[in-house]
Amino acid sequence: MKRILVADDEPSIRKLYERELIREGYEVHFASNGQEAVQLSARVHPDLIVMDIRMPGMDGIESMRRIMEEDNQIPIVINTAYTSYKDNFLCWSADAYVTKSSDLTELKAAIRGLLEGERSAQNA
Amino acid sequence: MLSEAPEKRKALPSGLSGEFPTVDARAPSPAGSDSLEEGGLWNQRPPRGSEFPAGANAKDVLLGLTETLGLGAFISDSHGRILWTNDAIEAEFPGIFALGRPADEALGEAVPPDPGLLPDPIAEQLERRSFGGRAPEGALRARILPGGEMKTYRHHSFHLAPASPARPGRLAAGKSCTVHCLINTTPEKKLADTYRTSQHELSSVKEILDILYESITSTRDVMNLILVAVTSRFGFGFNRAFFLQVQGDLLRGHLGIGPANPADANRIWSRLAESNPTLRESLRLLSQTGGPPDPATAELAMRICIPLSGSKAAEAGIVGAIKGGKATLLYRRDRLPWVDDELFKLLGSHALAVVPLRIGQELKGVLLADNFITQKPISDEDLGLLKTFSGYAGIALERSRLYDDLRQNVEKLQEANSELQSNQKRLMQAEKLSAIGELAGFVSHEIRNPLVAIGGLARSALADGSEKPETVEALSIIANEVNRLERFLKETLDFVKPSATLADDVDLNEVVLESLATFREELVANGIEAGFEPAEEEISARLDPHLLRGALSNLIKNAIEAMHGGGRLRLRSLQKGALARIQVADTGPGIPPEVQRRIFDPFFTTKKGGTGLGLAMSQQSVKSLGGTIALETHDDGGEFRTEFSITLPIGRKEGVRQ
Repeated sequence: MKRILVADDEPSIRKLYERELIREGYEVHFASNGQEAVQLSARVHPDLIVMDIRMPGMDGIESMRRIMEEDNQIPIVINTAYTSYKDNFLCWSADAYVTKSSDLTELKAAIRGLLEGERSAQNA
Repeated sequence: MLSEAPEKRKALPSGLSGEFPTVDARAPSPAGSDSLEEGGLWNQRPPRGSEFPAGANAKDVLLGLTETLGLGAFISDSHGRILWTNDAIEAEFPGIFALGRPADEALGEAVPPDPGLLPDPIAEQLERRSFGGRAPEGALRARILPGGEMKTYRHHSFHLAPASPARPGRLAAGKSCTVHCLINTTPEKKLADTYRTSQHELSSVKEILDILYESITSTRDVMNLILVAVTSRFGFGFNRAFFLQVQGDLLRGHLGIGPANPADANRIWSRLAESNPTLRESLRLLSQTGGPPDPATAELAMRICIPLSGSKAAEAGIVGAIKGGKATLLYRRDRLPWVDDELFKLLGSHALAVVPLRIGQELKGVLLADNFITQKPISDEDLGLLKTFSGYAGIALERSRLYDDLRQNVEKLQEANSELQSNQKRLMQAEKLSAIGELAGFVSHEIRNPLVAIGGLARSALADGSEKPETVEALSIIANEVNRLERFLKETLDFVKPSATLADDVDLNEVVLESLATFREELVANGIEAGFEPAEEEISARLDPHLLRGALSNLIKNAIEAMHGGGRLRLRSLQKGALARIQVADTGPGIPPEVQRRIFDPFFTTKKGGTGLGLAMSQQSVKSLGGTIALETHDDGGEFRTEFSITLPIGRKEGVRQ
């Protein structure tokens, strides 16, 4: 079972992602800020990270940078309510950028695509 | 009458008393003692021989002289009382003893103060006019006779004292006296006329100066004013006048006034004689008509060109006169410096007044004046008046130049100011947009997060597969409404900050068809017939199709909203070289000009419930693609009144990233 780490400071969003990603058949772990995400990533070694940007304390971008210092192979999906961070070159190192929406189809597709791509890369 | 004399004597103004003998060391004799009847000096028979030669001879000599020369003479005693007058006094100086009384009635009275005594400067001026600069000695007096004629005369007085101190007894009666000799200096009418003329000239000059100073006008107006003053018969009465300006090392003709030939003169002067305008009226007329009053003379002026630097020989003529800074009269003659020769030939004048206008040492211009038509000689007085005038004219010119400079600077400042203001407006608009953008971004984010949770959980609950249809309906409604809100936010946010563009190889015709297809239902519902006329060839371009679709959708939406009662929508695509154009035309009522100006402004809308973002977003998107969007309205009675066109570069370019 693929392990996904979701970093988001909003409990309601975490609740939504928990329901929907479990329904998709993933094992889901949660961090409520960037600091937690770095620690948890080191502990649980997720197959993919869904990262919010605006979080109290360490933000998503800084958190992503630190995680990638340890493991730059891990796929990361930036998931934020802002479209403007697309311009931030730090975000370009992420594997996907999905604007938050109540319709999770795009997010799920991005996750699936990245995990399958990883699998196919491993298989190759 | 005689007893009153001492009082009258006292009544003399002290300033005049010096002219009368007051040196008699002895006490004044009793009144009447030196009167004629009582054996005053002049009625006494001289006592023999040389006993009293001075007195006796004086009277006879005086009588002879005054009669021969036609001089007026009278004698006053040491108290200033009139003892004797000759006949010439009556004839030449009627009323000299005031109140118009005959001279013999004045006998025994005090010499009256003379109101005709002129102040020295005027006296000298009059003297110079009539005696060529040699002023005779003695106090000059003037008298205006009842007929308005003026007489001037020199008043010489000399004191006579007893010649023989050896016979003081005869003098005890107080026989020292003063002989008054009046020399008529009136060359009769000539002097009177000169005086009147100079009075007239003075008042004209004064009026010209008043006009010069009361109006702050442009340099050109002042030049005109100067020339009119020189040529007007109320001014200095020259036939023609020219104004020359300094341009580097050259003096160039700038303006000219006056008739061009005798026929012209006849025409102008007879017209002037009819309307008889005052100086002020002439000037007003001139400023109203605008152009030069005498075009031919103005044109002639433009042809004047005098080099200020040149050979030494040139300095002898006009150049030297100008450099010397003095008003000069030049005559046409042989062997003139070539500059003068050329000038005389050009102007056709025989005598020319040359008046440099200067401020301090700086030459501001030169005034030329001549009597080209009448050939009237230019007198020294004419030149003198011009010279006096030139000082004021120079100042007036300088003042107007400063005024012109000032006005130009003010205009420049006003321009700069209005530019600044419009820049400021633009800046404010940009700031406003930026502030709105930030606010929109913040609000959008704060609302979007809860919306994601609400809508997402509603969908999630739906996916759980509830059995109850009411629950399914409720959750569906929540999901749909959230979806709508999110779309609205996306519109707002995307306007504020366009998303990154993702370039792709596309066929523009396909993009147009796709955009049109999304409106199929709305078009049918509104009774609109839509057609697409694609370019014959495929228009392949590399750009972000989402941006173009967004831009087209807003144009189509706008067109549909403009045609309430149905109509036609026409889309066309064209390609010309590296440019592609997509046109969206509708048969709506057209867009009024005041709306056209603002139609791409964000938040500008004429629709109830409109966001005012649709067309602004279209423009933003097209800009992101490196293209332009334009609105055309056709009032030529054609069917399609409003047409938007998007022009895009389709060269082999990497997509434009924002």
